[in-house]
Amino acid sequence: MNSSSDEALHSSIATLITELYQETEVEVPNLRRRITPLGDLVGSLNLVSKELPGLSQQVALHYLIQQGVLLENPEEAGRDELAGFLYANTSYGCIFLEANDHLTRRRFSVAHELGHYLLHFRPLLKIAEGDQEYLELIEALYRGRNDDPQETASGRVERMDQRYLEQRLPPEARMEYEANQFATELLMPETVVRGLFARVMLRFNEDDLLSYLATEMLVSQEAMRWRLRNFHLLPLLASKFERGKEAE
Amino acid sequence: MSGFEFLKNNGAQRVRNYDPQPFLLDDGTQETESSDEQKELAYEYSLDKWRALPILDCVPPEDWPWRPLRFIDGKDLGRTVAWLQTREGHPMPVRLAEVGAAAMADQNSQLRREYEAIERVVSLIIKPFPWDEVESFAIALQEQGFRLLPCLAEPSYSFEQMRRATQNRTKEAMDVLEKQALAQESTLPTLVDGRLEPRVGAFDQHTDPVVGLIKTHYRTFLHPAGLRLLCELRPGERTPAFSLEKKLGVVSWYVRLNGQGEMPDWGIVRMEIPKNFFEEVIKGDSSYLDYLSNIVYAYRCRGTGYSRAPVSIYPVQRTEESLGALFTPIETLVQRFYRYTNL
Repeated sequence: MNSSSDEALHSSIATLITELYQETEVEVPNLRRRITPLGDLVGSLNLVSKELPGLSQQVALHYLIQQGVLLENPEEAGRDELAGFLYANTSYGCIFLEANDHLTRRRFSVAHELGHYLLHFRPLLKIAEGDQEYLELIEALYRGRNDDPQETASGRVERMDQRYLEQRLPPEARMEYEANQFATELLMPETVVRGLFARVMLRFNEDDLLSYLATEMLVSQEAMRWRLRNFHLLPLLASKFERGKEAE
Repeated sequence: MSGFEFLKNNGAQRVRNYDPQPFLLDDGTQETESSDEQKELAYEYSLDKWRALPILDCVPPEDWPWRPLRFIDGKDLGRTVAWLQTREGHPMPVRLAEVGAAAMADQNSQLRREYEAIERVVSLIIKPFPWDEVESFAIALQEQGFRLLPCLAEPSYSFEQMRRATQNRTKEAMDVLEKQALAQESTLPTLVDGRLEPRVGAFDQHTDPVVGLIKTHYRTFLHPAGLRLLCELRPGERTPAFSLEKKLGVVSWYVRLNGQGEMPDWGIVRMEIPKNFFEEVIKGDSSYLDYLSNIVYAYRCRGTGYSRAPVSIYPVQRTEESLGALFTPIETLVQRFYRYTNL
């Protein structure tokens, strides 16, 4: 992906996040309140989140049948282990999470699925609603090694009529990248990360800094490392120590 | 809904202040000295030449450049204030603590506090709880000036095991503050209360004159003859130095500061310095070890009012007292926590 399309994506995600806070009337994170209130955001969008052990597409769809959302289990529902799963139709949406994942991983999965919902699903659902058409969409986030956005395993957006999606949505790899980018920017807002970093960078070495910032924002150290690299702040940290050496 | 409702939603109950477990059973709560490091006992002397080395006459010159001028100590003052129950029935302790670290500098023979950092923290094993409830709890804590320290231990039915895990987590936070205190001026000769390895990253092991002073001995490193020598050390004597190598290579030795105790290892401290610094900057000169031992011996606490006086040195005791004065009395903090959380 070239840098101009990255810039455009960053800008559109930033706008989307601003609109999200306006729409939900949830307080935007700041240097005093540093943790993104993801639960409030999800709740305000009338999405449900459900944590299930041994999450797979089959387990999630079975739950939806039990809840009366689905009438029958689609054939060939996947049994692959998932970190997250999103189901949405024109009147209901549910984000499923692997209950045994670490909390920071679960939060990242929620933010990732919320990204899919806002970036990819909701526009289509609105069109379908306008056309008085019934539309069901699902997205599965496969389990990666951790929640380093670079290492998050790929997901897959599906609908019964796959061609319908192909005509209206970006390619899968692009959607996954966008959802990860959305999750990163939502959970680790630039102003908060930069503000905290400026406040504490002179006091910590790299490992302690990552641990501190990750704890402050309730994300994993891998995700925070990736974010700091995004801002080119990790080389800055290294050069801080090198400058110290030169001064000696 | 307040984020503090997380506690009530998960059946939180207050825990009264209870006596800690007996010291010897408390191995999991202290910084552990793992046994997988490499050691070389014949570092300063071959094993057959091990003997007590007197240090009382090894007074360093006035202008000796390696005399410790900074003293670092940390404090983790807290207790289990509540316990929750997971949906699987695991009892989960909630530990509230104030953690901090301070550095005192010797300025013309006067000790002045030059750095301090204190944080209020709540440590909890978060894995078994719903993500959104923990998130709201963490936000509510943040608004009241507390940090939630997520504890990564796996849930278990052993409350004591869980309690130790939460205490280890607050101690980790204290270690980080101690590292910060050390990193402020690590090029000045500095003495740290405790081992050096947990402070790796806060100093340069090749160039910084940092000394660790270990007062509590969880492990023995010596061979049988060395252990016998340790018991026979008189105040003002040290053992030969040996080296330990793991994440950080150190040169270490024992010094007896006091002798009128009942136990054979009464009044003995272990000192350690970075091996690279000793070999590259000091060129392995044993007089450096003698001088440092002499300085530490001269700094020994002579009073008996302080419980750890036999193994403590005056500047560290002052640092500890100075830091303690900045802490909120724990029961005041606990009552404040109960008020915020309506528990």
